[in-house]
Amino acid sequence: MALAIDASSPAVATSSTATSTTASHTPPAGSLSLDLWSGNTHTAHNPATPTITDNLGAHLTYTLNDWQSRADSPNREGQAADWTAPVATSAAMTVSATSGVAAGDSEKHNALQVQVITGQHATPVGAHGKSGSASASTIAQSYTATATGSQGFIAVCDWTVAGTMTAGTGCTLIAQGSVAGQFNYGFFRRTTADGTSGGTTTLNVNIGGTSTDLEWTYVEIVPAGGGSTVNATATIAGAGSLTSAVVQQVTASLTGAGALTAPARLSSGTALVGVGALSSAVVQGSGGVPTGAGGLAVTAVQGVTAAMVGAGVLNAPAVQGVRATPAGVGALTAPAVQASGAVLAGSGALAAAATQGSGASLVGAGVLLAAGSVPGAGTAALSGAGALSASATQLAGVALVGLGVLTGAAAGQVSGVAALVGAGVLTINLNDCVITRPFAGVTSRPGSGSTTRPNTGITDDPC
Amino acid sequence: MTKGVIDNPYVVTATDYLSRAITVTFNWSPVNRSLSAARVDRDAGCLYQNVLIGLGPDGTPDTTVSALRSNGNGVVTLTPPQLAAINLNTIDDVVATQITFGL
Repeated sequence: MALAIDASSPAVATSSTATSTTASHTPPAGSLSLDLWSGNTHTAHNPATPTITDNLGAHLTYTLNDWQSRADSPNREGQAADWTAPVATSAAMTVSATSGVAAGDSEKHNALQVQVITGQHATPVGAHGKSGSASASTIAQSYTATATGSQGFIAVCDWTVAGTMTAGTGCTLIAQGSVAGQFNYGFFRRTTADGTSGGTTTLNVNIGGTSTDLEWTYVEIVPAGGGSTVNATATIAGAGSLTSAVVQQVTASLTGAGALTAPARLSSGTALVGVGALSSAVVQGSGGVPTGAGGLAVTAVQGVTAAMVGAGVLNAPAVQGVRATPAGVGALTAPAVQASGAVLAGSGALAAAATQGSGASLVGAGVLLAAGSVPGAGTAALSGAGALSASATQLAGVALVGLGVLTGAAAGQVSGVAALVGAGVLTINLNDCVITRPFAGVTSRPGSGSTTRPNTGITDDPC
Repeated sequence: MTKGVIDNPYVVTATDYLSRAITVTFNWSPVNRSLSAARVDRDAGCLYQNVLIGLGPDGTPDTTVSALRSNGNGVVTLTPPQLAAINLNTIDDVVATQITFGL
């Protein structure tokens, strides 16, 4: 459900007494009262915490999200605050906020802006915070949105009374003005509920002059539900950043340069075609494919392919019937389990713990470290030049086809094969039983554990 | 704008949920601080129609006697006698308590 500012929202209330009271308004049941507040301070006096209430018999429960005052860094005059209160039952009400005036302080001026919001999440407050400035003519308050479709709000106090505040890029004025010349207040929101989960949202405010006493608070209101769902497509064709929670047969594509962060589930595809970084947790039949250069971090599970066509780094724990394949130059780290294949077709390094019918293959030059240790018909093969270190057991095979070094502990197992086809060094544990192909005139040394196939006149050493 | 000095004219604006505005402007004499005029400008369709100064007997702004009512019009101008009739004689009467807008 999308967020909306409800028509019942009352107008700003400003006061030279300690309390600002809104006009009567009737928020709908299930809505949220977002209460933005800005107040004066007396020079060098730290105020007490402002308070808020309503005229209902059973008051709403107000949560003070943030309060910024001269007691907080950068210790400037003025103060700002915001509260939220869920509205369970619709009823006519006024809301009153009262400044926590310091002892002996006559500076009671304040302003209250209530926004009635519908479509909010059960936990409606996402990112929030407070800040201030000793010299600024603009505010650009950024935060990382916690939900797609969220909306940001900001309450500003300009104690200097620098000028008329206006909304900056992407933002809309709710109310601004001066309270008897004592301070300027400004309440603003993002024009639309344009927050994207994990993305940066900025609240931009023009102060109208340079203020040396600015205080503000900000809050992100989170929508109920939210995010992209069924068969939606999120595509950014140019350069930039796309953060997308893609679910159920959805594709999130970043064609240009940039970063794509997409948890993709259920037959979803996350594709980074250009240069950049793709961080994607792809699960169940999903494919995470960056074809350009960059980095891919993929947790690929169940029937998933994590493939990197370009250069870069692929870090993919691939499990159950999965292939993790970088075809270009780079590195592949893939613990492949159960009939999985970890294949590095280009140059680079492949470290693969391949078990149970798995194969770890390095076709190009490089280093292959493969622990084909648990059982069953696993294959560790290095076709190019390099080094292959593999503990292959139980019908497992370790094969070095090209030049290099093969270290194969085919220990204590049944009919394991350690084959060095090209030139190089084959190291065999002394206690291993190694059977070589028959060579005429070769005689095994009794007790060495090595023997040849039966040849005339040669007696095998039982192992 | 000057810190600590009430602007002349003194302007207060509010917008409704569709950013439609209502503005009240008070002109006052810098000599004796008396109000010389008040004007209410209201965007078409703006939900707020009345300027509410102070609180009424029930503690809400809605029942205040110092209300400038637009009656649905886009522009309403009030003279000093009309302002005096609702207890607004000087700019200090305007800023002494609170200001908001109502339906």
